Amino acid sequence: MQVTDQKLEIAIGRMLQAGVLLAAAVVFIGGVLYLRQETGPRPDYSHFAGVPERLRSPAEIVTNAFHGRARSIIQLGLLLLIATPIARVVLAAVGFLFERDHLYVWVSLIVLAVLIYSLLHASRILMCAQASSCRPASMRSFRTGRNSGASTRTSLNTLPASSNTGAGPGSTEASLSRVVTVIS
Amino acid sequence: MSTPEFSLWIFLSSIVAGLLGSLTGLGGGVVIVPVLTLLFHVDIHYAIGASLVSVIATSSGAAAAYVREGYSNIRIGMFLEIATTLGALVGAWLTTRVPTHAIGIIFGVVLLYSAYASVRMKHREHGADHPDPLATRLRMSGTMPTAEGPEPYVAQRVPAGFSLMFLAGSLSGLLGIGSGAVKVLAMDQAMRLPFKVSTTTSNFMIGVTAAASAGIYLSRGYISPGLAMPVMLGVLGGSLIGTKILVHARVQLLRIIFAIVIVALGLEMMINSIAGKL
Repeated sequence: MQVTDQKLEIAIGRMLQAGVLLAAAVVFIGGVLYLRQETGPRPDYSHFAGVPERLRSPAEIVTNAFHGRARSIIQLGLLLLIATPIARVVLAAVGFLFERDHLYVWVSLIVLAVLIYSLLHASRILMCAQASSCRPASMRSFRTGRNSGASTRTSLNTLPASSNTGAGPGSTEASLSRVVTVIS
Repeated sequence: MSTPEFSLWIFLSSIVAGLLGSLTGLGGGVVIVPVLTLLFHVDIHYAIGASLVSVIATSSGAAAAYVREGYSNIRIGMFLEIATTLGALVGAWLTTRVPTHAIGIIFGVVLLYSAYASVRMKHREHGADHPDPLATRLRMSGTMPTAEGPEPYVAQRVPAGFSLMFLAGSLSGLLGIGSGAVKVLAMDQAMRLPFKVSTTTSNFMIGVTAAASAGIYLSRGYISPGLAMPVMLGVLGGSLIGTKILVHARVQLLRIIFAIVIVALGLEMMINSIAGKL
């Protein structure tokens, strides 16, 4: 097979467009379901608490999306969107291999390695977040407020949901999950 | 305000952001983040999460159109993506360490720079073509289609371009934007590539750069489906409309109008950050 730069670029362009259209369609379907069930007052996004765990891990997103959960279907569409440029790098690496441009096969593989590292790194944080021992560390950034010295606990207390429950040092874990469910 | 009503307002604002972003070549992210934080009082972490996914969508959606013109350089793009993806990892990590008001101030500075770049910067029609040893070894050269036939160009000052690309990636990961203005600066001013090659190659790189920080954003819970859904669909729709009317519109006038809007948003963003209201 004769592969030229021009052919390779056209193939990549088509692949990117198909990926975006597919992702947008999935997000749209999820959005319609989401708006049909969410008719109450608008969610409060003014305080950052992070979305629930089930909307963060790719494995859980896929499982819940196939159970027809609206938010998970939207996240699945966004996952497809994130995967599109990654697939582009893979396609370029294969194309350079056909062109026998070994230097650029390596360049593509380095970029791919950084992208995969980002995903692995992300899942490592996630595993860490599930183990209670290292959760406060992963959540340190939680609410980087004006007072830079704010600890996780005091900044949590500025959130409406936890200020009523009066979260003590021991119940940070519990109040955190409450806040997460209430806000998102 | 009910959820469907809120979603509709976000969707309409995102269409405008995508439209302006594509008409000026700055991308939808630089508009939608200030709109979400200043107008709709969304926390900046959710705003940059929603913006980043819309950046991937517009970059990938426009790629097919750019490829047909034959200006983008896949090798230069891929090599510089090493710098932008590494920068994006650093930027995404920084969002968890840098205080909110500092993110707001940096965002304001980038907005002001983008406005300046879109109006003032002189772009080179033609690239440099004297040989550069490093660029030759890295095969960072090509030919650009012109009316007078193919015109050769060779990248210059590769280390400077590479460093600027690392900065562009860091800003992209920290602020959830494509940072096309800094990418074009690296290729246009530092590496002396022809303007059309810089802009189209930059568009290709934006999606890959954003994907590098998106994984981290997702696991940190920055990407909220209820918010990202209207933003992504709106910005994508707006940018597709923008590409269609780009052919007929008077771009220079639009640039100036848009630059004024960007300056206003940038100043507002900085004032609010300093006052601690963001």
